[in-house]
Amino acid sequence: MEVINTDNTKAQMRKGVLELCILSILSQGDAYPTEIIDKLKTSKLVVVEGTLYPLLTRLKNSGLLAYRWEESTGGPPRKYYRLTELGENYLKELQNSWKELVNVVNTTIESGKKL
Amino acid sequence: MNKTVTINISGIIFHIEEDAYQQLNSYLNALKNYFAKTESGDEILQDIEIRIAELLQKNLNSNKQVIVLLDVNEAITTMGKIEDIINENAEGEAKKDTNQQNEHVKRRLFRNPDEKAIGGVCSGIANYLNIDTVWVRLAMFLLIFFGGLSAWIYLILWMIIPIAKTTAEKLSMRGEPITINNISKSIKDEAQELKTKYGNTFKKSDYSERIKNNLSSSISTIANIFTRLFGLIILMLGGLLLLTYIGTILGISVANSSNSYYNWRQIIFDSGKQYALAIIALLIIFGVPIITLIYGGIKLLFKIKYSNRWLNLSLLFLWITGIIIGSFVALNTLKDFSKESIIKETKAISFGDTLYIKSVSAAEIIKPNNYSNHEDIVDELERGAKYCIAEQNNKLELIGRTELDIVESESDSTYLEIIYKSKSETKKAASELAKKIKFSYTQNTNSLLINEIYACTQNNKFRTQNVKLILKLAKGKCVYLDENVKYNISDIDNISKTLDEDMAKHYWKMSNDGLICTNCSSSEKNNDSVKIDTSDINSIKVDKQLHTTTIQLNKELRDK
Repeated sequence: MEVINTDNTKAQMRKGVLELCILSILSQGDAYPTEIIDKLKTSKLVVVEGTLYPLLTRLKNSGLLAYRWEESTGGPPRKYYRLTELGENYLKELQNSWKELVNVVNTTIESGKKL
Repeated sequence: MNKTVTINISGIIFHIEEDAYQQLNSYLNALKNYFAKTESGDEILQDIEIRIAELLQKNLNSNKQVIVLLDVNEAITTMGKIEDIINENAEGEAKKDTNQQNEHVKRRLFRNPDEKAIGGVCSGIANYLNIDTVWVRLAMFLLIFFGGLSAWIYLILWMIIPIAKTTAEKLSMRGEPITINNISKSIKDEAQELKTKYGNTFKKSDYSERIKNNLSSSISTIANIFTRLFGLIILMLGGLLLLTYIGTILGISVANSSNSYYNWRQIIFDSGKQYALAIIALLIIFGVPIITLIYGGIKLLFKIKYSNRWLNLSLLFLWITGIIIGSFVALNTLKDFSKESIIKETKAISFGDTLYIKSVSAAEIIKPNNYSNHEDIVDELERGAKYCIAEQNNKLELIGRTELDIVESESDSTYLEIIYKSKSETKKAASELAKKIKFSYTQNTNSLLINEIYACTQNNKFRTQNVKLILKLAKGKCVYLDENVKYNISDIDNISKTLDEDMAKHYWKMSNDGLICTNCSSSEKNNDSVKIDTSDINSIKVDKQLHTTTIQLNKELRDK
């Protein structure tokens, strides 16, 4: 789950960030995919919704997320995701490395501009 | 007005227009195809379906109750096109999977509706074999000269090969690699499979159910094997019959070019039309069931469920037509043979003790007629033919062999009875034909000279015309049958039960019990040739009076 990988493309980068965003959203409270999507859409992180589901499933499979079914009025049942303990720890780690990364990247970009 | 389909997405029922359904179905299939290779693919797809259900539901209200194509397209745009999802989701592994899939492209045989002359069979085969359609068509065309073989082959293929209806089928027909762009189109045909699979995942299956499933699946496997075996047998039978059938067609076409066959059909059938109809009827009556056998066999063998109702009905209709034509021709032809006329002449014959019966040979009789096939006729008659056809200036003349019978006279004198027979549609026409038979004989003191053959009038049809001479021989009188009447002898009863041809060159006396040979050696009388090793024979006892031979065999041989 390293954010930086030499092979990473732009899409990979965004996906890494996407992971962080999803976990952050869930850290504020349980949500089902549509809610997550609505929040992400405002931040323009999700281009197409279809990509979100594989990611959620993967996070769930690696134990960072858990879910429960909830009935909805008139609609299909909703899958509410929440952060697990593991997920919370992971999020903290991720947030730290993200801050570091942003600092490193910013300084690198800045110094690049100066040169 | 549009047709709607009712579908169930994540437990929500939607009424969806057909085109929209197709679109959604192919989209979900494409997704399923893609996610099938990733971990928890089913779950991801289930989540996506839930979201799609939600998106579609948003567009519905009390005024709008049906999902249309627009809604589906909107949902797909929101979810993202398959390419986008795949690109976004792409990792080394997933990419490898799609590549692998490309390599596993399998060509499938379809009829090609986009490039068809008749049913798209040829271009379908060409696509399958990856060759130019021209070659297949050329091959089909050449096969026409083998008794129209390709017509039947084409018909069968037309029936059993399904048409490529969907883009996916067209893709796999052309064997085009299923690229990301093609995925959505290429797997429509798996829709059914998807449905059943999804139906199962939502079902809770307990143990007893599983056992039941296993049991029924093994039973169905056995049934499957039997069905296929049965199909194979039917197919082989059909193939065998087809070969016979083609052989017969070839035989007929070869025979058609021979003179004598042509003449026969000319002289039997009332018109050329009747003959043509008879052939057509036979081709249909035997052809259709053979095709049906092969069709059914292939369908069973390869478990093809596709069936073309229109073609099935046409085949049935064709067959019934064949039977109607056939019965029409048969009835018409039988009618021509329905009435018989017999003309009888009786002449008293006086001679000394023995009457020498000879014949004027056919060659001699027909010589002055200068038939164009003179030699053929003589040849045929020498081989014992009963009828043959003479040709002269394209006109045909039926020639038949005179029949000779000898019976005991009821009085003291000998008579010769000449019977002219013919059949036809009416009694009158039959007697007309019988009267026109040309036959003659001469009787001198001790000899009776009969014409070996009789001839019918030119262009008279063959209606089993016949001339029969019955010599009513007075008791005590004798006849000598010359060698050249041997083929004329027709079932003459005699005491020694000598066969007709063997009666020639002998003297026959009318005794109290019937005709008896007066100069036959015993070896000639016994016509049953039995090969017996002489060492097996103990004794041979010949009773000349009874004309029987008793052979005593060794005990061992008797036991055998």
